Amino acid sequence: MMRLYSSGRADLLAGRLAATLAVSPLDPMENEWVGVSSQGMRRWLLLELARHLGASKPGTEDGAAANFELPFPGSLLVQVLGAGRADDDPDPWEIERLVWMVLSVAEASADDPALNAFNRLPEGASRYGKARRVADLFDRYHVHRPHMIRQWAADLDRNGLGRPLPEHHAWQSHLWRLVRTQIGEPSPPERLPELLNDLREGRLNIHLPPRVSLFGLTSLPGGSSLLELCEALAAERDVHLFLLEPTHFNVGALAALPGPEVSGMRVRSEDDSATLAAHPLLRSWGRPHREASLLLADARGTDESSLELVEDPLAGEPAGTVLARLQRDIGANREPSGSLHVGRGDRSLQLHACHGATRQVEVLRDAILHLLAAPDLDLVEEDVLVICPALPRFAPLVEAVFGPSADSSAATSSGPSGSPLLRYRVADRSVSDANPVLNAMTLLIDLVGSRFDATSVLDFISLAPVRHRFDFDDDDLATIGDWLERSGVRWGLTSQHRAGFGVPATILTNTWRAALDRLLLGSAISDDAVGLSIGEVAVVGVEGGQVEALGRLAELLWRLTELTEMFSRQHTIGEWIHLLSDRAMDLFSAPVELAWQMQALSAALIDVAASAGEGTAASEVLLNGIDVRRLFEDRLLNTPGRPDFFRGGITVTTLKPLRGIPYRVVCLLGADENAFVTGNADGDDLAALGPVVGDPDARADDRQALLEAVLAAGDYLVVVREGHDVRTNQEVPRAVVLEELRDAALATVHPDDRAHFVRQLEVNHPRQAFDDRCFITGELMDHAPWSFDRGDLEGAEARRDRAGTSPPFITSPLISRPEDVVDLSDLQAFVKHPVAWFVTRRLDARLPRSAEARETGLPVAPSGLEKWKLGDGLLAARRSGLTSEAWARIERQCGTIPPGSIGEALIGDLVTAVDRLLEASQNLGITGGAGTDLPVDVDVVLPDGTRIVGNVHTQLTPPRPGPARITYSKSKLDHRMAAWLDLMALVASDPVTDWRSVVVSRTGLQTHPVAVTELSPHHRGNEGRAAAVAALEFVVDCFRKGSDEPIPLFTAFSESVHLGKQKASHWAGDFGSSESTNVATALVYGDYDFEALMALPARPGDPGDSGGRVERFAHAFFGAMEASATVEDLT
Amino acid sequence: MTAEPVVRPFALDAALPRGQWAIQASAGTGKTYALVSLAVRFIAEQDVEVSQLLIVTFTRAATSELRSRLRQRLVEVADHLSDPAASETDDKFAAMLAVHDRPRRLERVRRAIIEFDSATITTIHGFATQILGTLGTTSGTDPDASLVDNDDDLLEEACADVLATAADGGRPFGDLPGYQGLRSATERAMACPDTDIVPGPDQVGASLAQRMLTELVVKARATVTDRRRRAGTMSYDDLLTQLRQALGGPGGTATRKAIRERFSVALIDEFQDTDPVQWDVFSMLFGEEDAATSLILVGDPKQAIFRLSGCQRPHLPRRRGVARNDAARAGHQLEIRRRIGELP
Repeated sequence: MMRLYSSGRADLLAGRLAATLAVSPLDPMENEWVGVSSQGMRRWLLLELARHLGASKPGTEDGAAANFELPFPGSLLVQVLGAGRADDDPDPWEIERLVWMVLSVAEASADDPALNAFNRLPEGASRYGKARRVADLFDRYHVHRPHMIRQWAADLDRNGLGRPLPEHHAWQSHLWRLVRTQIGEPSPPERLPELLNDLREGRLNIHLPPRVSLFGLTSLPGGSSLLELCEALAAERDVHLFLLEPTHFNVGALAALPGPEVSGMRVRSEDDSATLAAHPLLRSWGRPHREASLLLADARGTDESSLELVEDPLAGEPAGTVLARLQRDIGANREPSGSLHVGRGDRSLQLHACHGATRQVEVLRDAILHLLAAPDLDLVEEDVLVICPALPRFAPLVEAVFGPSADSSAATSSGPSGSPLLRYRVADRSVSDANPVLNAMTLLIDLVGSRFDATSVLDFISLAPVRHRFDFDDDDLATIGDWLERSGVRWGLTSQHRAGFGVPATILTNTWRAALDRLLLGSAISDDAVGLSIGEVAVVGVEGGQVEALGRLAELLWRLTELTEMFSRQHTIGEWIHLLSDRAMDLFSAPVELAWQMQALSAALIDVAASAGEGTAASEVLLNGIDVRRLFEDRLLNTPGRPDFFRGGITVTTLKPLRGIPYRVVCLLGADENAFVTGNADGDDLAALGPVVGDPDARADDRQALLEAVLAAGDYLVVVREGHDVRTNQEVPRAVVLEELRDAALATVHPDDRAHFVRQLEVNHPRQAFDDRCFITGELMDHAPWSFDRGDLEGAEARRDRAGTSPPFITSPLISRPEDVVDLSDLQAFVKHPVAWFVTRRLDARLPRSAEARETGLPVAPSGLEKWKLGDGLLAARRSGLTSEAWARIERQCGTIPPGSIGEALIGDLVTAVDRLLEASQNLGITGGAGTDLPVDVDVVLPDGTRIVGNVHTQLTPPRPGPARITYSKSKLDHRMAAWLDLMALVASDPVTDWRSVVVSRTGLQTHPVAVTELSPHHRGNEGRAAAVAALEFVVDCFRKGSDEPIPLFTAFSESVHLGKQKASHWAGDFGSSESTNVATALVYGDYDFEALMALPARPGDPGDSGGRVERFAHAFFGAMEASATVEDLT
Repeated sequence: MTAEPVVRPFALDAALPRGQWAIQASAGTGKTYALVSLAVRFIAEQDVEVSQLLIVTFTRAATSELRSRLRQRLVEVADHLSDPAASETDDKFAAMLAVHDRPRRLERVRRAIIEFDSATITTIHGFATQILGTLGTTSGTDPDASLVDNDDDLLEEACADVLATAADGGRPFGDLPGYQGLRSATERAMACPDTDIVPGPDQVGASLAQRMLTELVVKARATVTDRRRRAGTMSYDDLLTQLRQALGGPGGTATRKAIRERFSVALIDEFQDTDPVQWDVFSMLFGEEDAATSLILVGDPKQAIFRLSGCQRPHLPRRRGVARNDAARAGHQLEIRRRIGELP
């Protein structure tokens, strides 16, 4: 006997189920069998039944539910098909096995001309992937086109709607028959008619209790096949179908529609049932339910006696809010009447338009907090459901914005930026999201097929299971990152590995192998000597304490290399599983308390192996790396993880798992056009090409899930969407489904109230969470400010205070710590960069190096900076006596020189440039080599008693001795400033000698590539000493000021100010070399544009007597240089 | 070879175009308005179901704007048709529709609103993805490949590898292109898959360096393709190239037929920006003279951004002109000459 129960509310339906079960309990030794449509429904129903069953007295909720079996409806069919089959003899037509059957048959029939179209594998595609798709197709046909399959089995090539199979699809029936032959057993559609007959007549031995219920059906999974099965089951058993219906269509009306046309099926395009739906949302969102109603009507005829409409005790009460009225209209299937008068505070349906995904989550958090905070609502987090169609994209944002869940151990009292913490749980993520080891496994499989570029490998090393296995702590990872940089790793494990990518194996550098050799050598010997290399390997120094980490890194790379070699060959699935299990043990581990992570991986691998079977044809198929990658994507990425429902707090999930389950607050996050399935037909799917009523349809199912969400919301439906593009600020129109929802809501409302309803329906949120409008009552909400975020409030307040001007880096100079003795080298360091001096030496701050992206390509085009480093290195090498050839050999080993002729050309250029510099210095009498560098002690006492001590290295020989700066740089101003300071110190110490100070640098010009600049004091003797002492006095004064506060003295920029040639572009130019891009300068003066900088007012004690601070220091410094020394160009 | 087609002014109240039409519209003439109005007319007057409508635009933003405006217009027209007297607007377009056959037109527009979600309003790439999907196993495309938006990294590594290989193989430095030069030439070559890159290996008068550039661009392009296959990824350009190939392949005829049966009206916005491959796809699908589908191209020939994107640079020969001439040859041409906010 079959009975149907219909209700729009799952809780009422569950109550009715409980009543049915309670009235006639089964034998205590029998399980109660209740089919459910989702994991979420399973758990919810059990909790719900426990409230009703066995309660101490009616109305109390202290019951218990036990001895339940709650499988998915599909298992009914499995039961029937498996009747009489031994437990250890799995059904070969079951999908996981069918994949392997298809694969092995396809392999064996590679030469079959009838399979030509099928066997052509697109380059890069995987045979496993293809087999998987075909197996899925066959499986779908078995359920939805059993008639067609029976025709195929009888050698009749039909397309499912009774017409001949088009020629370009002929491979399908042919392949299916080959699979059928290989399996050697009739397929489910062939067996089913007889099995159902046996079932009807009680001859079939299946493990089902005398009562079978299917609960919460919103559509019919399996279409008419399921009904056929239920009907057969009902011959001997009680079958109860509990339909969760948005509305109930009258059987008479359904029967009045034209009947089925083709082999008992209704063609979907001919289906007119939409005309029965009076409510617009039922029409556009309710097709799966409508089709289910039709199929039920077809199966049952017009007899309504077996159907019970579960009574809704609230049905008679007035529906005061927009949401309630909308639900009531849908439930009664009536057109919105436009008669509802909406209260000003009716927020039962709310739309929020935001800028971008992160703002959506922030707004959602605040919307939930408002509801929880309202005292009269008495809501708790358990009452709130968040559904998000694009959960993989939003889940990390939810975790970032919500912070740790309030019940987790990591929780503090408030969220990331001072907002109240919520208890929540992101449920329904894939197994690999939930298990770091499985995630690492999928990444490993990706990695072994890749180029092994420096970044990807470093990312892999940073994965928790790898770190744990190789015991890398944060310091180790930082060290490894540093090693990669210094050892020049770009990509490729070895040069042979790179050859696989078409790059000649003669290029030996920049591989992991080369880097490891250099590092391992460096762990044995020091790299102090310039350009030490042994056997073509240049050393990279490794500190003693890091040798062990290096060993572990070497082991990791060795294992990866080994695995990569194995991956390039073909293996059977058994061999692959063996291989991957072994490697997983080698590469991953988990702490004891997380041992389940490793166990889950082993279980997954064993599962895969089992599906192929042992000793079968499938187990002999040779698979390559691409196949294995697809296999694991399939098994790990796309498999849902363990559901985490009803364990307290707000549940965040995708559209489907909790569909139909009532929550007082339902939030729809990320309700954007591209989040909803558009439903692309698969051109191979014969069922999708000619769809019939009851066929699965992803697009329609998505819409119905929305309909169910609207109906499941008890008090509030909160919809959050993208309203503006986060980058372009362009307005984003509402998704069509939201337009439909909005129109339906509007039509519900009385025309007089529509104007104010539209205003309160949707809130347009500002771009930034720290916008003033978030904190002003009446801006985004009538009676309260919108945001709960304390951090953002502080941001908004701070922004107000600043009112457009930037505060100075420090408000007043620090307390002076004048020293009586100043080191000349400190003065030099100060003059080189006064602002950086203050930040690094006085504040002791470590400045970040401007981060450059890690290079992962072969070095074919060195940047200007890289060329400069090479030239500078060559100059130093040559001056220390090394030949250009020796230098080039070492640089080649280091992988800094481009390959082949490009490298030759570069070396040629560098050698020429350096030769010219050395030639120019030889003309000055500088020979280079040992003993030609003579330090001269300096000791100057200034009038205020300050002593300047230190020494100056001189390379120029008498009669005019002095220091010579030979530099590969083109910009020579900073060298000139340093040369001047040396000169002043020498003259002040010893005014008798005829000192000079020379800078030899490049010009970048073809005509005279080298510039030789000579600085000489204006005077010698006492007059010269007095001038030099005055200059040093000024520098020491600047030095002291600059040690107490940053002073706006720069090199090129200040010189241009001094010369009256300053331009805004010199300060904030688009070029990296402009002053304001220096890290220290950016830190102190980053908020200043050119005008603001020039307007900096002078402070008491600043040099000069007119103009702003920048001008005063510029004029004073460069004026002091001009007043004391002559600059002469010797070229 | 073909005479310059006659360009006639476009009017919203003229007979609906059937077959192939190109509508030229300069900026500010209300091109989107014209497109939306045409779609509404097809629905109301010719009983074209909204699911039979294909509208292709070039950017995602344009797609969502068009989708939203079309729906809004349908709602406005439905309001007017349901009670023309009560409607306060002086919406002449809606009024024109209300003159004949009002109840049936209202019913059609209402149904279109209900089923609006089933309209195919998409970007060219979204369209290509859909069509490739319908081609199935025989399309020659890896159905598991994932689409990648930005391929700069791959382009750069391929150019570096190709250049390194050439340099290591002893090619003289003077003949080798610079890295940046190779990169930008390869990028352009990838953007126009149909271009023959000149000079060819045997071209007379070409310098060694020019021929070397050609050779390396060809290699870099092949390297990128090869690496994409290894990684199981596909670019949007690949998608279109493969679609064109598949449409000409074994399952192609059936697919073309199925697509034509599915869409009775195809409106292509911004057709001036179609590149040769895209144009080939459209003309293979809808371009035959007796095709049942009305193909309407809307665009502003003065705004062709494609011309700027590099295909006419010296060593990458023109192809663009061909596409536009093809478009121009597509049946009839109409021009929006003044702003069409209103009917006269």
